[in-house]
Amino acid sequence: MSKKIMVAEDSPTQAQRAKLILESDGYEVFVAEDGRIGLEMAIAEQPDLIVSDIVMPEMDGYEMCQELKSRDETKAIPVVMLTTKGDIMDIIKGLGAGADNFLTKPYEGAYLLERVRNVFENISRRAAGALSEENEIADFQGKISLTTDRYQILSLLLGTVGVVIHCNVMGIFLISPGGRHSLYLVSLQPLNDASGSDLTAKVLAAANVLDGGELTENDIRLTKVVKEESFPENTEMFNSFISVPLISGGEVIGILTTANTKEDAFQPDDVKLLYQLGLESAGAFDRIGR
Amino acid sequence: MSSIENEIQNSVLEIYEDLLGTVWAKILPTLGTVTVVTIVQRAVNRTSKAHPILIHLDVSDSGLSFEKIREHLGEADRDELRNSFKDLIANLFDILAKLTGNIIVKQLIKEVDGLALDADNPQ
Repeated sequence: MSKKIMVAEDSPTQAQRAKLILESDGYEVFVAEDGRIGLEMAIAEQPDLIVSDIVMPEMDGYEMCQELKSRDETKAIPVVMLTTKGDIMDIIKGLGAGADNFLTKPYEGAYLLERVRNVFENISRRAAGALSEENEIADFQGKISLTTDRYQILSLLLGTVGVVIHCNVMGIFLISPGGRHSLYLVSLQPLNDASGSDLTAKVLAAANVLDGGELTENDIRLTKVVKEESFPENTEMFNSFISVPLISGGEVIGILTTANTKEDAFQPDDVKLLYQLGLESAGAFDRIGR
Repeated sequence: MSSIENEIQNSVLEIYEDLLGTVWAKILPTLGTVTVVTIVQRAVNRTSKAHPILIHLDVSDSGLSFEKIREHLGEADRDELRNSFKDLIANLFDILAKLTGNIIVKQLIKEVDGLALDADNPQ
């Protein structure tokens, strides 16, 4: 039986385009013209996935997503949100509303289909209990152990944060209760050992100051995520950084650090923006698993 | 405890109440309530290991409450009280510096410099 997808989109042209793209891959597609109708249709029709625009009359995409995620009967339906390129607030609000994945507008049909396939593949593998850190390696260029959802969010965070506050690396430390903590170094270009260690030290310093512990590199599972392998290796140290505690449900679940090789690269407004992002993305990391 | 000692201790407390209130108000718009509560609570926990009087300092969404600490003034003399708060502020700034480099701390030092000097010479 084909998978059922709801497209929530107020523009008839855009809705029709998304419908045709998805139908071309064998999905059964229905359209909701605004967030309110989308909410009602999702409850009644129980789609396997929702692709939602953000700006819609009656109820916007964030509100619809939040409503869906707060109801037992719809909270498991994955929501892919269509965001505006480079608009960090779209991502912040989307993460806060509980979106599972994002796609930047304007998008190519192939990207939409790839994103939808990835979401479904992850769901099936999770259901089969096959999605562990070890066997996710093949998901991303055969190199790293990340779920597509986790990679998408890390990549989007770096992409959007990088554009807005001029950083090209991020360290995301996630505390694993009872397990080995994870540290993802997400960078646009490859990091050499020294610059990787420098960033790791900054993240761990922030983690230790908040946790009161004495974590070292030996206590973490390190994963490097490089967006452009073909770029020259970064060999410089990081002279500016901002670390943000990721707080979910009143508990510090990790640290997000952005860095720049230049001195005084960040301004107070950057701190504010990043702290907002930290609060919203903490929920997302909690949902997709630490 | 003599009434003069009590008065001095209350003066010390008032000055640090102002100082910490100023710090709280300055960092709140940038870091947000959830983060500020978390950071200040960590600073209080860390400092109270050396200065147990600080366990009576309550941290909540609405700020720092000094009410309980006023009830327990007999547990520390004026020097200990002053040192407790000095260390608390040092720890708070240390946490902020490790999180945001010098961006926030530089601004704060300018703001609280005058107030901190008053705290060393209470009436």
